[in-house]
Amino acid sequence: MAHDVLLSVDHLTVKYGQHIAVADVSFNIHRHDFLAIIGANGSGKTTLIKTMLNLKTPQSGSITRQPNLRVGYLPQNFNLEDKSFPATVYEIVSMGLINQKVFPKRLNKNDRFLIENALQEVNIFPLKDQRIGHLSGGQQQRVLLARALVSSPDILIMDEPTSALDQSMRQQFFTLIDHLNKNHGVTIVLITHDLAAAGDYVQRVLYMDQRLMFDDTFEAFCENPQLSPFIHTHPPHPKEARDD
Amino acid sequence: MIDLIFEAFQFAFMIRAFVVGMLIAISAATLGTFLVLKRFSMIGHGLAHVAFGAVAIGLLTQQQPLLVALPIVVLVSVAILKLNETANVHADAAIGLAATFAMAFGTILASVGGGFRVELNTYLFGSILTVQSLDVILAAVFTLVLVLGVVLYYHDLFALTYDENYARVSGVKTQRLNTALAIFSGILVVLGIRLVGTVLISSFIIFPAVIAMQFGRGFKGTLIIAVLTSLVTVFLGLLGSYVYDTPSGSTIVVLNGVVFMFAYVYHKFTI
Ligand SMILES: Nc1ncnc2c1ncn2[C@@H]1O[C@H](COP(=O)(O)OP(=O)(O)OP(=O)(O)O)[C@@H](O)[C@H]1O
Ligand SMILES: [Mg+2]
Repeated sequence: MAHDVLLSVDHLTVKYGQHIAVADVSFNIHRHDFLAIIGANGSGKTTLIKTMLNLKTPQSGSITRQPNLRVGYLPQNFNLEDKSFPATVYEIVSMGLINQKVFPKRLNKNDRFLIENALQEVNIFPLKDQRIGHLSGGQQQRVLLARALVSSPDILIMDEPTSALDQSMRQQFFTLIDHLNKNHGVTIVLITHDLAAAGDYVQRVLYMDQRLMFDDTFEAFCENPQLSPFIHTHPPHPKEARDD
Repeated sequence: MIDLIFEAFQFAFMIRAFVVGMLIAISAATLGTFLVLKRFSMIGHGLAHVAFGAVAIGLLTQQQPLLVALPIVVLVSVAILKLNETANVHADAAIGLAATFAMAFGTILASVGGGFRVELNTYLFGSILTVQSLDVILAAVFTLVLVLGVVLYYHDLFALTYDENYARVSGVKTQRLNTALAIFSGILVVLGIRLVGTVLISSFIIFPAVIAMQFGRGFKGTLIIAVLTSLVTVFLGLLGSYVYDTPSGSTIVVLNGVVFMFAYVYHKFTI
Protein backbone atom coordinates (compact mmCIF):
# COMPACT_ATOMS: atom_id res chain seq x y z
CA MET A 1 0.00 0.00 0.00
CA ALA A 2 1.31 3.43 -0.86
CA HIS A 3 2.50 5.30 2.16
CA ASP A 4 -0.20 7.93 2.28
CA VAL A 5 -3.12 5.61 1.70
CA LEU A 6 -4.81 5.29 5.09
CA LEU A 7 -7.54 2.98 4.04
CA SER A 8 -8.18 1.04 0.90
CA VAL A 9 -11.51 -0.39 -0.21
CA ASP A 10 -11.14 -3.07 -2.85
CA HIS A 11 -14.04 -4.51 -4.88
CA LEU A 12 -16.28 -4.47 -1.84
CA THR A 13 -19.69 -6.11 -1.94
CA VAL A 14 -21.87 -6.18 1.16
CA LYS A 15 -25.22 -7.92 1.55
CA TYR A 16 -28.01 -8.14 4.10
CA GLY A 17 -29.31 -11.62 3.46
CA GLN A 18 -30.00 -11.60 -0.27
CA HIS A 19 -30.22 -7.84 -0.47
CA ILE A 20 -27.15 -6.18 -1.95
CA ALA A 21 -26.44 -2.92 -0.12
CA VAL A 22 -22.98 -2.18 -1.49
CA ALA A 23 -21.90 -3.52 -4.90
CA ASP A 24 -18.30 -3.78 -6.08
CA VAL A 25 -17.03 -0.55 -4.59
CA SER A 26 -13.34 0.38 -4.78
CA PHE A 27 -11.53 3.54 -3.65
CA ASN A 28 -8.61 4.71 -1.55
CA ILE A 29 -8.62 7.23 1.26
CA HIS A 30 -5.44 9.29 1.39
CA ARG A 31 -4.01 11.17 4.32
CA HIS A 32 -5.44 14.72 4.52
CA ASP A 33 -8.44 13.83 2.37
CA PHE A 34 -11.68 15.65 3.09
CA LEU A 35 -14.27 13.54 1.40
CA ALA A 36 -18.03 13.47 1.40
CA ILE A 37 -20.05 10.35 0.69
CA ILE A 38 -23.44 11.24 -0.71
CA GLY A 39 -26.40 9.31 -2.09
CA ALA A 40 -30.11 8.79 -1.57
CA ASN A 41 -31.62 7.06 1.47
CA GLY A 42 -30.81 3.38 1.33
CA SER A 43 -28.00 3.79 -1.19
CA GLY A 44 -25.53 1.94 1.05
CA LYS A 45 -23.55 4.78 2.65
CA THR A 46 -23.89 3.66 6.24
CA THR A 47 -23.30 0.05 5.25
CA LEU A 48 -20.12 1.05 3.46
CA ILE A 49 -18.59 2.79 6.45
CA LYS A 50 -19.77 0.12 8.86
CA THR A 51 -17.85 -2.37 6.76
CA MET A 52 -14.86 -0.04 6.73
CA LEU A 53 -15.02 -0.07 10.55
CA ASN A 54 -15.24 -3.89 10.72
CA LEU A 55 -18.76 -3.74 12.09
CA LYS A 56 -20.03 -5.72 9.14
CA THR A 57 -18.46 -8.56 7.23
CA PRO A 58 -18.33 -8.09 3.46
CA GLN A 59 -19.64 -10.66 1.02
CA SER A 60 -16.55 -10.22 -1.11
CA GLY A 61 -13.72 -7.75 -1.54
CA SER A 62 -11.56 -6.37 1.18
CA ILE A 63 -10.71 -3.40 3.39
CA THR A 64 -7.07 -2.66 4.12
CA ARG A 65 -6.22 -0.21 6.86
CA GLN A 66 -2.86 1.29 7.60
CA PRO A 67 -1.57 -0.42 10.74
CA ASN A 68 -2.22 1.41 14.02
CA LEU A 69 -4.62 3.79 12.32
CA ARG A 70 -6.51 5.79 14.93
CA VAL A 71 -10.13 6.09 13.89
CA GLY A 72 -12.69 8.47 15.34
CA TYR A 73 -16.23 7.35 14.61
CA LEU A 74 -19.45 9.29 14.87
CA PRO A 75 -22.38 6.91 14.27
CA GLN A 76 -25.67 7.84 12.60
CA ASN A 77 -28.10 6.27 15.02
CA PHE A 78 -27.24 5.42 18.55
CA ASN A 79 -28.74 5.46 21.98
CA LEU A 80 -30.23 8.95 21.57
CA GLU A 81 -33.74 7.56 21.86
CA ASP A 82 -33.07 6.29 25.37
CA LYS A 83 -33.64 9.40 27.47
CA SER A 84 -33.29 7.49 30.70
CA PHE A 85 -29.81 6.05 30.17
CA PRO A 86 -27.72 7.24 33.10
CA ALA A 87 -24.52 8.55 31.56
CA THR A 88 -23.08 12.04 31.80
CA VAL A 89 -21.68 13.98 28.88
CA TYR A 90 -18.25 13.62 30.48
CA GLU A 91 -18.58 9.84 30.69
CA ILE A 92 -19.66 9.59 27.06
CA VAL A 93 -16.69 11.62 25.87
CA SER A 94 -14.31 9.56 28.01
CA MET A 95 -15.44 6.53 26.00
CA GLY A 96 -13.51 8.00 23.08
CA LEU A 97 -10.24 7.26 24.84
CA ILE A 98 -10.65 3.54 25.45
CA ASN A 99 -9.35 2.53 22.04
CA GLN A 100 -5.83 3.61 22.98
CA LYS A 101 -5.80 2.27 26.52
CA VAL A 102 -4.51 -1.08 27.63
CA PHE A 103 -5.76 -3.29 30.41
CA PRO A 104 -6.62 -2.24 33.06
CA LYS A 105 -8.03 0.89 31.51
CA ARG A 106 -7.91 3.91 33.80
CA LEU A 107 -8.33 7.63 33.18
CA ASN A 108 -5.33 9.65 34.30
CA LYS A 109 -4.79 13.37 34.67
CA ASN A 110 -3.79 13.79 31.05
CA ASP A 111 -6.94 11.96 29.91
CA ARG A 112 -9.09 14.30 31.95
CA PHE A 113 -7.30 17.22 30.34
CA LEU A 114 -7.99 15.77 26.89
CA ILE A 115 -11.65 15.24 27.70
CA GLU A 116 -12.10 18.80 28.98
CA ASN A 117 -10.30 20.09 25.91
CA ALA A 118 -12.59 18.17 23.57
CA LEU A 119 -15.64 19.41 25.47
CA GLN A 120 -14.42 22.97 25.13
CA GLU A 121 -13.65 22.54 21.46
CA VAL A 122 -17.28 21.74 20.65
CA ASN A 123 -18.68 24.27 23.12
CA ILE A 124 -20.37 21.96 25.59
CA PHE A 125 -18.05 22.21 28.55
CA PRO A 126 -20.76 23.65 30.85
CA LEU A 127 -22.93 20.61 30.11
CA LYS A 128 -20.32 18.07 31.14
CA ASP A 129 -22.19 16.77 34.19
CA GLN A 130 -25.59 16.62 32.53
CA ARG A 131 -27.25 13.37 31.67
CA ILE A 132 -26.84 12.77 27.91
CA GLY A 133 -30.55 12.07 27.46
CA HIS A 134 -31.50 15.50 28.80
CA LEU A 135 -29.67 17.33 26.01
CA SER A 136 -31.13 18.52 22.74
CA GLY A 137 -30.41 16.59 19.54
CA GLY A 138 -27.83 19.11 18.40
CA GLN A 139 -26.10 19.15 21.77
CA GLN A 140 -25.97 15.37 21.71
CA GLN A 141 -24.34 15.39 18.29
CA ARG A 142 -21.70 17.73 19.65
CA VAL A 143 -21.08 15.28 22.48
CA LEU A 144 -20.53 12.55 19.92
CA LEU A 145 -18.19 14.80 17.99
CA ALA A 146 -16.21 15.45 21.16
CA ARG A 147 -16.03 11.71 21.76
CA ALA A 148 -14.72 11.17 18.24
CA LEU A 149 -12.16 13.98 18.64
CA VAL A 150 -10.84 13.24 22.09
CA SER A 151 -8.32 10.62 21.02
CA SER A 152 -6.79 12.86 18.30
CA PRO A 153 -7.70 10.43 15.52
CA ASP A 154 -5.85 10.18 12.20
CA ILE A 155 -9.18 9.79 10.45
CA LEU A 156 -12.65 10.91 11.46
CA ILE A 157 -15.50 8.88 10.00
CA MET A 158 -18.86 10.57 10.50
CA ASP A 159 -22.33 9.43 9.52
CA GLU A 160 -24.60 12.45 8.99
CA PRO A 161 -23.08 14.40 11.87
CA THR A 162 -24.93 17.63 11.12
CA SER A 163 -28.47 16.30 10.71
CA ALA A 164 -29.59 17.68 14.10
CA LEU A 165 -27.57 20.88 14.09
CA ASP A 166 -29.00 24.35 13.60
CA GLN A 167 -27.64 26.66 10.91
CA SER A 168 -25.04 28.38 13.07
CA MET A 169 -23.91 25.15 14.76
CA ARG A 170 -23.60 23.57 11.33
CA GLN A 171 -21.27 26.34 10.21
CA GLN A 172 -19.28 26.03 13.43
CA PHE A 173 -19.11 22.28 12.95
CA PHE A 174 -17.71 22.53 9.42
CA THR A 175 -15.29 25.25 10.46
CA LEU A 176 -14.05 22.99 13.25
CA ILE A 177 -13.50 19.89 11.13
CA ASP A 178 -11.96 22.04 8.41
CA HIS A 179 -9.54 23.38 11.01
CA LEU A 180 -8.72 19.82 12.10
CA ASN A 181 -8.19 18.85 8.47
CA LYS A 182 -6.02 21.81 7.49
CA ASN A 183 -4.01 22.37 10.66
CA HIS A 184 -3.88 18.96 12.31
CA GLY A 185 -3.88 16.80 9.21
CA VAL A 186 -6.96 14.86 10.26
CA THR A 187 -8.50 12.93 7.39
CA ILE A 188 -12.24 13.53 7.14
CA VAL A 189 -14.83 11.10 5.80
CA LEU A 190 -18.30 12.52 6.01
CA ILE A 191 -21.64 11.08 5.00
CA THR A 192 -24.00 13.94 4.35
CA HIS A 193 -27.26 14.90 2.69
CA ASP A 194 -26.20 18.50 2.97
CA LEU A 195 -23.56 19.07 0.32
CA ALA A 196 -24.74 22.66 0.00
CA ALA A 197 -23.45 23.43 3.50
CA ALA A 198 -20.42 21.13 3.28
CA GLY A 199 -19.43 22.34 -0.18
CA ASP A 200 -17.04 25.05 1.00
CA TYR A 201 -14.86 22.46 2.68
CA VAL A 202 -15.26 19.18 0.84
CA GLN A 203 -12.42 18.32 -1.54
CA ARG A 204 -13.66 15.04 -2.90
CA VAL A 205 -17.11 13.57 -3.47
CA LEU A 206 -18.15 9.92 -3.58
CA TYR A 207 -21.63 9.40 -4.90
CA MET A 208 -23.16 6.05 -3.95
CA ASP A 209 -26.08 4.16 -5.38
CA GLN A 210 -25.18 0.63 -4.32
CA ARG A 211 -22.29 1.06 -6.72
CA LEU A 212 -19.85 3.92 -6.54
CA MET A 213 -21.26 6.12 -9.33
CA PHE A 214 -18.86 9.03 -9.00
CA ASP A 215 -15.50 9.63 -7.32
CA ASP A 216 -13.71 12.88 -8.09
CA THR A 217 -13.06 16.39 -6.82
CA PHE A 218 -15.85 18.63 -5.61
CA GLU A 219 -15.22 20.95 -8.59
CA ALA A 220 -15.61 18.09 -11.07
CA PHE A 221 -18.77 17.10 -9.25
CA CYS A 222 -20.23 20.60 -9.63
CA GLU A 223 -19.35 20.77 -13.29
CA ASN A 224 -20.99 17.45 -14.03
CA PRO A 225 -24.36 18.39 -15.51
CA GLN A 226 -25.97 15.16 -14.33
CA LEU A 227 -24.79 15.48 -10.77
CA SER A 228 -24.74 19.19 -10.03
CA PRO A 229 -28.47 19.38 -9.16
CA PHE A 230 -27.46 17.41 -6.10
CA ILE A 231 -25.94 20.45 -4.51
CA HIS A 232 -29.25 22.24 -4.52
CA THR A 233 -31.59 19.42 -3.66
CA HIS A 234 -31.96 18.52 -0.04
CA PRO A 235 -32.19 15.67 0.50
CA PRO A 236 -30.94 14.53 -2.89
CA HIS A 237 -33.19 12.73 -5.29
CA PRO A 238 -31.53 9.73 -6.94
CA LYS A 239 -33.30 9.99 -10.29
CA GLU A 240 -31.82 13.34 -11.17
CA ALA A 241 -28.36 11.97 -10.80
CA ARG A 242 -28.82 8.70 -12.55
CA ASP A 243 -29.80 9.77 -16.09
CA ASP A 244 -26.45 8.83 -17.57
CA MET B 1 -37.21 -4.86 68.47
CA ILE B 2 -33.53 -4.35 69.26
CA ASP B 3 -33.65 -7.51 71.33
CA LEU B 4 -35.11 -9.37 68.41
CA ILE B 5 -32.27 -8.20 66.19
CA PHE B 6 -29.70 -9.41 68.68
CA GLU B 7 -31.59 -12.61 69.01
CA ALA B 8 -31.56 -13.10 65.25
CA PHE B 9 -27.80 -12.98 65.06
CA GLN B 10 -27.39 -15.64 67.67
CA PHE B 11 -28.37 -18.26 65.17
CA ALA B 12 -25.72 -19.52 62.82
CA PHE B 13 -28.26 -19.99 60.04
CA MET B 14 -29.30 -16.34 60.33
CA ILE B 15 -25.73 -15.13 60.07
CA ARG B 16 -25.23 -17.35 57.03
CA ALA B 17 -28.42 -16.01 55.49
CA PHE B 18 -27.36 -12.41 56.09
CA VAL B 19 -23.90 -12.93 54.67
CA VAL B 20 -25.21 -14.67 51.56
CA GLY B 21 -27.93 -12.04 51.30
CA MET B 22 -25.46 -9.16 51.32
CA LEU B 23 -23.20 -10.89 48.81
CA ILE B 24 -26.11 -11.61 46.46
CA ALA B 25 -27.25 -8.02 46.96
CA ILE B 26 -23.91 -6.69 45.74
CA SER B 27 -23.55 -9.02 42.77
CA ALA B 28 -27.18 -8.82 41.64
CA ALA B 29 -27.18 -5.01 41.74
CA THR B 30 -23.86 -4.80 39.90
CA LEU B 31 -24.81 -7.25 37.21
CA GLY B 32 -28.35 -5.88 37.13
CA THR B 33 -27.24 -2.38 36.24
CA PHE B 34 -25.57 -3.65 33.08
CA LEU B 35 -28.40 -6.05 32.23
CA VAL B 36 -31.17 -3.49 32.72
CA LEU B 37 -29.39 -0.89 30.60
CA LYS B 38 -28.62 -3.46 27.90
CA ARG B 39 -32.33 -4.32 27.95
CA PHE B 40 -31.48 -7.82 29.00
CA SER B 41 -32.92 -7.61 32.49
CA MET B 42 -35.51 -10.33 32.01
CA ILE B 43 -32.68 -12.84 31.63
CA GLY B 44 -32.85 -13.30 35.40
CA HIS B 45 -36.50 -14.19 35.20
CA GLY B 46 -35.99 -16.54 32.27
CA LEU B 47 -33.01 -18.29 33.82
CA ALA B 48 -34.90 -18.72 37.08
CA HIS B 49 -37.49 -20.75 35.16
CA VAL B 50 -34.72 -22.76 33.59
CA ALA B 51 -33.30 -23.32 37.05
CA PHE B 52 -36.69 -24.58 38.16
CA GLY B 53 -36.66 -27.18 35.38
CA ALA B 54 -33.08 -28.11 36.19
CA VAL B 55 -33.83 -28.48 39.89
CA ALA B 56 -36.62 -30.87 38.95
CA ILE B 57 -34.10 -32.97 37.02
CA GLY B 58 -31.81 -32.94 40.05
CA LEU B 59 -34.56 -34.04 42.40
CA LEU B 60 -35.72 -36.76 40.06
CA THR B 61 -32.22 -38.16 39.62
CA GLN B 62 -31.52 -37.73 43.34
CA GLN B 63 -28.59 -35.41 42.74
CA GLN B 64 -27.80 -32.14 44.54
CA PRO B 65 -30.40 -30.01 42.67
CA LEU B 66 -28.42 -26.77 42.57
CA LEU B 67 -25.29 -28.51 41.33
CA VAL B 68 -27.35 -29.98 38.49
CA ALA B 69 -28.89 -26.59 37.82
CA LEU B 70 -25.63 -24.63 37.68
CA PRO B 71 -24.18 -25.94 34.39
CA ILE B 72 -27.59 -26.12 32.73
CA VAL B 73 -28.54 -22.56 33.62
CA VAL B 74 -25.15 -21.16 32.59
CA LEU B 75 -25.35 -23.00 29.28
CA VAL B 76 -28.87 -21.79 28.57
CA SER B 77 -27.83 -18.26 29.48
CA VAL B 78 -25.05 -18.31 26.90
CA ALA B 79 -27.42 -19.95 24.41
CA ILE B 80 -29.96 -17.14 24.86
CA LEU B 81 -27.22 -14.63 24.19
CA LYS B 82 -26.08 -16.45 21.05
CA LEU B 83 -29.65 -16.78 19.82
CA ASN B 84 -30.02 -13.05 20.27
CA GLU B 85 -26.70 -12.25 18.58
CA THR B 86 -26.84 -14.55 15.60
CA ALA B 87 -30.40 -15.53 14.82
CA ASN B 88 -31.92 -12.08 15.06
CA VAL B 89 -34.22 -13.17 17.86
CA HIS B 90 -34.90 -10.29 20.24
CA ALA B 91 -33.67 -10.76 23.78
CA ASP B 92 -37.15 -10.84 25.28
CA ALA B 93 -38.33 -13.47 22.80
CA ALA B 94 -35.21 -15.62 23.26
CA ILE B 95 -35.65 -15.47 27.03
CA GLY B 96 -39.33 -16.30 26.70
CA LEU B 97 -38.55 -19.35 24.61
CA ALA B 98 -36.05 -20.78 27.06
CA ALA B 99 -38.11 -19.93 30.15
CA THR B 100 -41.40 -21.43 29.05
CA PHE B 101 -39.77 -24.51 27.59
CA ALA B 102 -37.83 -25.22 30.79
CA MET B 103 -40.86 -24.54 32.98
CA ALA B 104 -43.01 -26.92 30.95
CA PHE B 105 -40.25 -29.51 31.02
CA GLY B 106 -39.87 -29.17 34.81
CA THR B 107 -43.59 -29.47 35.38
CA ILE B 108 -43.77 -32.67 33.34
CA LEU B 109 -40.88 -34.11 35.35
CA ALA B 110 -42.63 -33.09 38.55
CA SER B 111 -45.83 -34.83 37.49
CA VAL B 112 -43.93 -37.94 36.43
CA GLY B 113 -41.82 -37.92 39.57
CA GLY B 114 -44.86 -37.43 41.80
CA GLY B 115 -43.18 -37.55 45.19
CA PHE B 116 -40.84 -34.59 45.00
CA ARG B 117 -43.39 -31.91 44.27
CA VAL B 118 -43.36 -30.52 47.80
CA GLU B 119 -39.62 -30.20 47.81
CA LEU B 120 -39.72 -28.46 44.47
CA ASN B 121 -41.93 -25.81 46.06
CA THR B 122 -39.21 -24.72 48.47
CA TYR B 123 -37.13 -23.81 45.42
CA LEU B 124 -39.90 -21.57 44.18
CA PHE B 125 -39.73 -19.13 47.07
CA GLY B 126 -36.46 -19.99 48.75
CA SER B 127 -35.84 -20.17 52.44
CA ILE B 128 -33.21 -18.68 54.71
CA LEU B 129 -33.24 -21.88 56.72
CA THR B 130 -31.70 -23.83 53.89
CA VAL B 131 -28.58 -21.67 53.40
CA GLN B 132 -25.46 -23.74 54.05
CA SER B 133 -21.81 -22.94 54.62
CA LEU B 134 -21.00 -23.96 51.07
CA ASP B 135 -23.44 -21.31 49.83
CA VAL B 136 -21.57 -18.69 51.81
CA ILE B 137 -18.23 -19.68 50.29
CA LEU B 138 -19.61 -19.87 46.75
CA ALA B 139 -21.37 -16.52 47.06
CA ALA B 140 -18.24 -14.90 48.47
CA VAL B 141 -15.98 -16.17 45.69
CA PHE B 142 -18.55 -15.29 43.04
CA THR B 143 -19.08 -11.75 44.31
CA LEU B 144 -15.36 -11.14 44.63
CA VAL B 145 -14.65 -12.28 41.07
CA LEU B 146 -17.58 -10.30 39.69
CA VAL B 147 -16.72 -7.05 41.45
CA LEU B 148 -13.05 -7.39 40.53
CA GLY B 149 -14.01 -8.04 36.92
CA VAL B 150 -16.27 -5.01 36.81
CA VAL B 151 -13.60 -2.77 38.34
CA LEU B 152 -10.93 -3.98 35.91
CA TYR B 153 -13.14 -3.85 32.82
CA TYR B 154 -15.24 -0.88 33.87
CA HIS B 155 -14.62 1.29 30.81
CA ASP B 156 -15.10 -1.55 28.36
CA LEU B 157 -18.32 -2.60 30.08
CA PHE B 158 -19.62 0.95 30.09
CA ALA B 159 -18.96 1.32 26.36
CA LEU B 160 -20.51 -2.08 25.68
CA THR B 161 -23.63 -1.14 27.62
CA TYR B 162 -24.04 2.27 26.05
CA ASP B 163 -23.28 1.51 22.43
CA GLU B 164 -22.10 -1.95 21.46
CA ASN B 165 -21.12 -0.98 17.92
CA TYR B 166 -19.02 1.90 19.14
CA ALA B 167 -17.39 -0.36 21.70
CA ARG B 168 -16.47 -2.81 18.96
CA VAL B 169 -14.97 -0.08 16.80
CA SER B 170 -12.94 0.97 19.85
CA GLY B 171 -11.42 -2.48 20.12
CA VAL B 172 -13.53 -3.75 23.01
CA LYS B 173 -13.92 -7.53 22.94
CA THR B 174 -17.68 -7.23 22.98
CA GLN B 175 -18.49 -10.89 22.38
CA ARG B 176 -16.25 -12.04 25.19
CA LEU B 177 -17.70 -9.50 27.62
CA ASN B 178 -21.26 -10.39 26.65
CA THR B 179 -20.51 -14.06 27.19
CA ALA B 180 -18.99 -13.25 30.56
CA LEU B 181 -22.12 -11.30 31.53
CA ALA B 182 -24.29 -14.25 30.47
CA ILE B 183 -22.21 -16.72 32.49
CA PHE B 184 -22.27 -14.51 35.59
CA SER B 185 -26.04 -14.08 35.22
CA GLY B 186 -26.48 -17.84 35.15
CA ILE B 187 -24.36 -18.39 38.26
CA LEU B 188 -26.08 -15.54 40.10
CA VAL B 189 -29.52 -16.98 39.49
CA VAL B 190 -28.53 -20.41 40.81
CA LEU B 191 -26.76 -18.97 43.85
CA GLY B 192 -29.73 -16.74 44.61
CA ILE B 193 -32.32 -19.51 44.47
CA ARG B 194 -31.61 -20.88 47.94
CA LEU B 195 -32.34 -17.56 49.55
CA VAL B 196 -34.85 -15.92 47.26
CA GLY B 197 -36.34 -18.69 45.19
CA THR B 198 -36.81 -18.88 41.45
CA VAL B 199 -39.92 -16.71 41.41
CA LEU B 200 -38.38 -13.54 42.79
CA ILE B 201 -34.69 -13.64 41.89
CA SER B 202 -35.10 -11.35 38.89
CA SER B 203 -36.31 -8.55 41.17
CA PHE B 204 -32.86 -8.56 42.80
CA ILE B 205 -31.42 -7.84 39.38
CA ILE B 206 -33.95 -5.24 38.26
CA PHE B 207 -35.04 -3.19 41.28
CA PRO B 208 -31.70 -1.75 42.44
CA ALA B 209 -30.76 -0.57 38.94
CA VAL B 210 -34.16 0.98 38.29
CA ILE B 211 -34.18 2.70 41.69
CA ALA B 212 -30.62 3.98 41.17
CA MET B 213 -31.51 5.38 37.74
CA GLN B 214 -33.94 7.74 39.47
CA PHE B 215 -31.04 9.33 41.35
CA GLY B 216 -27.82 8.87 39.43
CA ARG B 217 -26.95 11.24 36.61
CA GLY B 218 -23.97 9.27 35.47
CA PHE B 219 -23.17 5.63 34.98
CA LYS B 220 -20.69 5.17 37.80
CA GLY B 221 -22.99 6.95 40.25
CA THR B 222 -25.91 4.77 39.22
CA LEU B 223 -23.87 1.62 39.67
CA ILE B 224 -22.80 2.64 43.18
CA ILE B 225 -26.29 3.75 44.22
CA ALA B 226 -27.70 0.45 42.94
CA VAL B 227 -25.31 -1.56 45.11
CA LEU B 228 -25.99 0.57 48.19
CA THR B 229 -29.76 0.40 47.69
CA SER B 230 -29.55 -3.33 47.27
CA LEU B 231 -27.51 -3.79 50.44
CA VAL B 232 -29.93 -1.71 52.50
CA THR B 233 -33.10 -3.36 51.19
CA VAL B 234 -31.72 -6.88 51.55
CA PHE B 235 -30.51 -6.21 55.09
CA LEU B 236 -33.77 -4.62 56.23
CA GLY B 237 -35.81 -7.16 54.30
CA LEU B 238 -34.11 -10.14 55.93
CA LEU B 239 -34.46 -8.53 59.32
CA GLY B 240 -38.11 -7.81 58.67
CA SER B 241 -38.69 -11.34 57.53
CA TYR B 242 -37.21 -12.64 60.79
CA VAL B 243 -39.08 -10.22 63.02
CA TYR B 244 -42.47 -10.56 61.32
CA ASP B 245 -41.97 -14.15 60.24
CA THR B 246 -42.64 -13.37 56.57
CA PRO B 247 -40.99 -15.07 53.54
CA SER B 248 -37.54 -13.50 53.07
CA GLY B 249 -37.59 -13.05 49.29
CA SER B 250 -41.05 -11.50 49.25
CA THR B 251 -40.22 -9.14 52.11
CA ILE B 252 -37.16 -7.84 50.28
CA VAL B 253 -39.08 -7.39 47.05
CA VAL B 254 -41.93 -5.52 48.73
CA LEU B 255 -39.41 -3.26 50.42
CA ASN B 256 -37.79 -2.63 47.04
CA GLY B 257 -41.17 -1.75 45.62
CA VAL B 258 -41.77 0.85 48.33
CA VAL B 259 -38.29 2.34 47.86
CA PHE B 260 -38.88 2.49 44.12
CA MET B 261 -42.11 4.43 44.60
CA PHE B 262 -40.34 7.00 46.75
CA ALA B 263 -37.45 7.18 44.28
CA TYR B 264 -39.88 7.68 41.41
CA VAL B 265 -41.68 10.52 43.17
CA TYR B 266 -38.34 12.09 44.11
CA HIS B 267 -37.21 11.89 40.48
CA LYS B 268 -40.43 13.45 39.19
CA PHE B 269 -40.05 16.45 41.45
CA THR B 270 -36.35 17.07 41.13
CA ILE B 271 -35.11 16.35 37.62
N1 LIG C 1 -29.76 -4.16 9.37
C1 LIG C 1 -30.24 -4.27 8.12
N2 LIG C 1 -30.87 -5.38 7.72
C2 LIG C 1 -31.32 -5.50 6.46
N3 LIG C 1 -31.18 -4.57 5.50
C3 LIG C 1 -30.55 -3.44 5.83
C4 LIG C 1 -30.04 -3.22 7.15
N4 LIG C 1 -29.44 -2.01 7.17
C5 LIG C 1 -29.60 -1.49 5.95
N5 LIG C 1 -30.24 -2.34 5.13
C6 LIG C 1 -30.54 -2.12 3.71
O1 LIG C 1 -29.34 -1.85 3.04
C7 LIG C 1 -29.49 -0.77 2.16
C8 LIG C 1 -28.48 0.29 2.47
O2 LIG C 1 -28.74 0.83 3.76
P1 LIG C 1 -27.83 1.95 4.41
O3 LIG C 1 -28.25 2.12 5.82
O4 LIG C 1 -26.41 1.63 4.13
O5 LIG C 1 -28.26 3.23 3.55
P2 LIG C 1 -27.82 4.75 3.69
O6 LIG C 1 -27.26 5.14 2.38
O7 LIG C 1 -26.98 4.95 4.89
O8 LIG C 1 -29.22 5.48 3.89
P3 LIG C 1 -29.63 6.77 4.76
O9 LIG C 1 -29.34 7.97 3.94
O10 LIG C 1 -31.10 6.60 4.95
O11 LIG C 1 -28.89 6.73 6.05
C9 LIG C 1 -30.94 -0.32 2.29
O12 LIG C 1 -31.65 -0.84 1.19
C10 LIG C 1 -31.42 -0.91 3.55
O13 LIG C 1 -32.76 -1.30 3.44
MG1 LIG D 1 -27.20 5.96 6.69
